Amino acid sequence: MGIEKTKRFVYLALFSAMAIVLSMIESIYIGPIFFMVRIGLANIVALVTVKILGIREMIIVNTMRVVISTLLRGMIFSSTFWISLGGVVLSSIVLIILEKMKSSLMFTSVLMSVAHSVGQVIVVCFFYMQAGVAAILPYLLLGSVPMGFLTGMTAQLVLARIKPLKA
Amino acid sequence: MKKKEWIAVLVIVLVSALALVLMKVLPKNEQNTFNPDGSMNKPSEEAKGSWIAVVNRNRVILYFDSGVDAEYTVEGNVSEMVIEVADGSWHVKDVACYDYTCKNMGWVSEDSILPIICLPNDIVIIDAATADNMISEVTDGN
Repeated sequence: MGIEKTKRFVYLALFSAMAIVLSMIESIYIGPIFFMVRIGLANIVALVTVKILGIREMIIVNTMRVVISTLLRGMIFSSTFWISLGGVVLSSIVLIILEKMKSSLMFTSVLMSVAHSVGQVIVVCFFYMQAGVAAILPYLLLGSVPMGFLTGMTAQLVLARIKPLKA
Repeated sequence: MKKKEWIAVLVIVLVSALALVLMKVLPKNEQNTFNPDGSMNKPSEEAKGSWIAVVNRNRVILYFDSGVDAEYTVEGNVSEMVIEVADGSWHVKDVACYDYTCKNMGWVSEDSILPIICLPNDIVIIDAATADNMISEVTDGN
């Protein structure tokens, strides 16, 4: 029992660290692939965490990722932070719902990616009080779908190599 | 992925593609395009009367068509100003500055000698061509 708990903590710390590093690498070195669409590398970690550790741990990993990666970049509580948080909150909600519905990993990944874009656009609309910003959503959604497939495929490859921990 | 899930993804793609096409097809509201400095771009379509410019701090903050009866609210240096347009003429309907000269000037049209000027708000209401000349003279002078 004790060893299991320690193992869970270690996994949680490892996944959080990976999510933070991937999120920082993406924002600093990779940036948007085309027209503001990012890959969403940290979503891979969220998907892997929910399958291996569970929903509660995924929420912790996602929160850590947003708070610590913006803190490290000196952007905490800036507009970037809130926009990022909006995307993560909505994508986490979608992930929880789809996990309960036992959807396939690929579909979960695509919808998470879509929810991430929608969440960010909602926050931007509120932040800048400009509903017209929502016009960007179709572009983002069209970009999100292939990116969702990409992260889903990567998560599948990762999950094939890590055994899930017993609850 | 199950068949239902494929359909859901397809629906998302189709809806976004449709929205994109609609955005390209639907006409844009050109009257509301602004430059980075906050000045308004002159509308490209033909005015029913003529284009009248509201100038504040050497930038046009509003173009209105003197042939279209309407009410516009603009923000000046000290207060908001409500401009009413009717039958090819316009006047300041309401302003909260301290001397009301602009409001007391009454109805003005293109044939009037004096344009509406509000000194506290730094607002001048003149025809678009004169506004262009006035602004370019000021900016060239710099």
